[in-house]
Amino acid sequence: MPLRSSQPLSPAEEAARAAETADLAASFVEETRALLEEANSALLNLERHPEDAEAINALFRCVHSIKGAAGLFDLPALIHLVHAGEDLLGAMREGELSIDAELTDQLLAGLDRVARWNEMFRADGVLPAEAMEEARSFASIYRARLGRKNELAARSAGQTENEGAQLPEWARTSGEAISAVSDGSDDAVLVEYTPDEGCFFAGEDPLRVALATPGLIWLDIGIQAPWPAGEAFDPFACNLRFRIVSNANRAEVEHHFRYVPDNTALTVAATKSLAEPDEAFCENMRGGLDPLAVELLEAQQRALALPGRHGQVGDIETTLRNLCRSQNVPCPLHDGPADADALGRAIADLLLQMKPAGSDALTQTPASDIALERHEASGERTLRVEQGKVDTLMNLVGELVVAKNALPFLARDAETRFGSRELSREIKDKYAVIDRISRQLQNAVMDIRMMPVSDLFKRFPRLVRDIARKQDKKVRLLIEGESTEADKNIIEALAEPLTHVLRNSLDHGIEQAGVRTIAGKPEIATLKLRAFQDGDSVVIEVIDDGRGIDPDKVRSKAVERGLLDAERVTQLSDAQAVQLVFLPGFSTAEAVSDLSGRGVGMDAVRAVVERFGGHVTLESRSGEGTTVRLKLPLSMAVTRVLTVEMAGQLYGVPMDLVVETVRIEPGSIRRLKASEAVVLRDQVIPIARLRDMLGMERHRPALESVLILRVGNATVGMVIDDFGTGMDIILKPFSGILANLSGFSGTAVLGDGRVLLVLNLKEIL
Amino acid sequence: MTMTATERVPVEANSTTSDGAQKARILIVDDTLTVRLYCSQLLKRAGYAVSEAINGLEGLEQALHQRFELFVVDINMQKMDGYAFLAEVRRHADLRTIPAVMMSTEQGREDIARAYQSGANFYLTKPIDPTRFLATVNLMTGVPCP
Repeated sequence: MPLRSSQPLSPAEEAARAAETADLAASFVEETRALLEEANSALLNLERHPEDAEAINALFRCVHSIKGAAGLFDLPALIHLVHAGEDLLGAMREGELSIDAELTDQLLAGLDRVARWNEMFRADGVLPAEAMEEARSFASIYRARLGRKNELAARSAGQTENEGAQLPEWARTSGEAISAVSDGSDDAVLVEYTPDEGCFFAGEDPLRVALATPGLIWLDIGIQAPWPAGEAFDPFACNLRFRIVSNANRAEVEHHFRYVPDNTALTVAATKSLAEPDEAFCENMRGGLDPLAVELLEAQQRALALPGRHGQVGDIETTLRNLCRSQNVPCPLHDGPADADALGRAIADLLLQMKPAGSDALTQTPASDIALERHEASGERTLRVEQGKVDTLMNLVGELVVAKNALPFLARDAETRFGSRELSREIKDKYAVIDRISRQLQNAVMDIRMMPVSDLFKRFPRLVRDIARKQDKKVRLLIEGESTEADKNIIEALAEPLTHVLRNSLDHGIEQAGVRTIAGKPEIATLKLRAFQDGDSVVIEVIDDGRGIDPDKVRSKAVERGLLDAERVTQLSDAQAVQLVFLPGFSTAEAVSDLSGRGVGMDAVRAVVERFGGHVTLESRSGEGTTVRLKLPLSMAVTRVLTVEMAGQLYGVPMDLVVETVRIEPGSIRRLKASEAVVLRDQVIPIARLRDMLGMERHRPALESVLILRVGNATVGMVIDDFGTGMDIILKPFSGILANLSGFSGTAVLGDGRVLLVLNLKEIL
Repeated sequence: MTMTATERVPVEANSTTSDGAQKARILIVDDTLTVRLYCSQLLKRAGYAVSEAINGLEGLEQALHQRFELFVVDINMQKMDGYAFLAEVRRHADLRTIPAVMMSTEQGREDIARAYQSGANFYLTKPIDPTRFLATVNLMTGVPCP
């Protein structure tokens, strides 16, 4: 809707305003998201501590703020829902209603719906056609909770609101027609009646109801939504809406529509105002002040009369003087400060002189224009950084780290090729300085990317509550170490796996309260979500005190699924058997619940964690509970690798997998059936040859160089040609046609310009 | 996706009308970013200088450090609500002569009475009607009608 503007806009101004409109909508969406999140957690808090006044206040404030901002946009359904929710929360705040699980569910569902609409508004700029209907059904649920008595109050409050500022759009556009038929009575009742689609089945006769409206002076029948195409047309679905103007009094009209309160919106308006043009402001009307000025004067009169303000009238004086200046009328006040009496006389004087005859009816305000006009850039400067910029910075730091690696090569060259020891030493000294600075820089940039895990954890109380309620289980969620920080990418990547682990605990681990009591456990189960930093890693644990994982069940399921044969399975210890849940395609769910067991199992969890260079462990004590531990690197920008040489070519092996490096006699590698193994400190370690894996010919060195690696839970010895040095690299994943290349996790550029291929050992072993 | 490096800090911004004349300085106190953004854009385009505060406490701090000709104040805010903010303003010798508009979704007579009681000079109901809002600001700051 265009701004009522005196001069037309230039194309550039139009474009600027369109951009501002988009800005404002984006700000609304983002802010609403944050407010909804806050409201969610306040609501859960409130459910736990029903007497917590701060929680109800916070919840109310969030909903209130959403409503306030939503009014700037064309979102009637969202406002309708939020308004009903606010009424309910208002009653809770006044202690008229207390929270219970059912009410929490209803409120959560409402918040969810608003969240969904918010995203729809972001994507499409509008809400779906059925939104209003959904909003009404939420509103009637909330109103039912408020009870009959409050219902009337809530409804009349809603109607008062209409009286004030919001004349329905249709009444404005049809205003002149309506006032032409009105018989000159001051007030008219405006009714918008939108029957339910299925109203015919409920015995309603909407046309009859509309025609029988007492005092009917104007009726407009239209459709609620565009008619569907021929074959989808349902003759039994009501798609009509009625706009009615009545000159009967409001109580009568309200009584007439008493059976369809949810389908009617009542507004009382002065009929004269219906024909009033929009631009009433800043125009001296009929020789008097503009109606807003009169309103403002009356407000000052009112303020002056309030006992509490006595003696403090400086603001009223300023307002009065400014008003006169603005309206270009002489101010009846003398120079110098005026007292309350003088002000009162001046106001009365101005009102008497200037108020045009019959302007009482003009206090009706025109309908608000909820168009989206935005102007100029925001005055708020925020120091917000796009993630892309931080990523660029991180990449540059990474390249600096790599570039500095060239200096030791240069130092070596200075000595060996140019014979200058001194130069070599100086280069090494400079290298030490650059090395220190680049490390500090790297830490500083990494610090920007660090986020507390609370950003990740805050979604879980809701999840746990919902699932527990659905399954009729009693669970207390304990969260520890929320302030632990980790790299943003890691935190974000963990959301899904952690959700899955928690769902597993709730679905399979934690028992129904009755079962727990029989087992002699506390009725309320404890689910602990814990984060802490461990050296260079961040550890996240999910600990439940449920029934644990039954190793026999896992064994039989593994056989059933064809993952292992019966013989192998029986050889596994209980602790080993439990680890089978990490195998792809494994699920212990008896029946596929709608929560977990959708084919995304622990193997998916492991895959995500390992992609970030971490690992998952699982411990289960039968009858006592399960602990799942995710261990991830704190940051992922710089990887330390050990370089290995193969046929003159360098490869990288992630340092964190390397347990030790040994050189052994070729003869000590024993052949066991089809595979090879070596006995090292009484441990049999299977051997893999990198030359075989890379498709190179074997060679026969005097001593075999073996890397002892720990991959997952297995120890493997890998025979290579020779060890290189350890170095920090920035791993660049393959892209383009190489993206699907298996066996390698990426490349890095070395200080001397060579390209290092980094092996993905988990894949090739 | 954005990362917030620091808290949002309201920053004072000046602007002038197209004819170069400086209009009044206005302080918007509202905890809703979207509303602040909207009002501030509306006012700046009309040539006002605008500052923003996210609650009464911050508003008071700004009001004590620079001169404003009008306060536009929301009611429901954390830390210090609009009523308390105005009550403080009216108590303070340097601020009590500055007019204030309250602007909120509260509809009840009691809320409006309380607004005037706390020291408001006018009350506007959200959602904001831009024409009415600007006309009110013009009137209260003495800007002649075009």
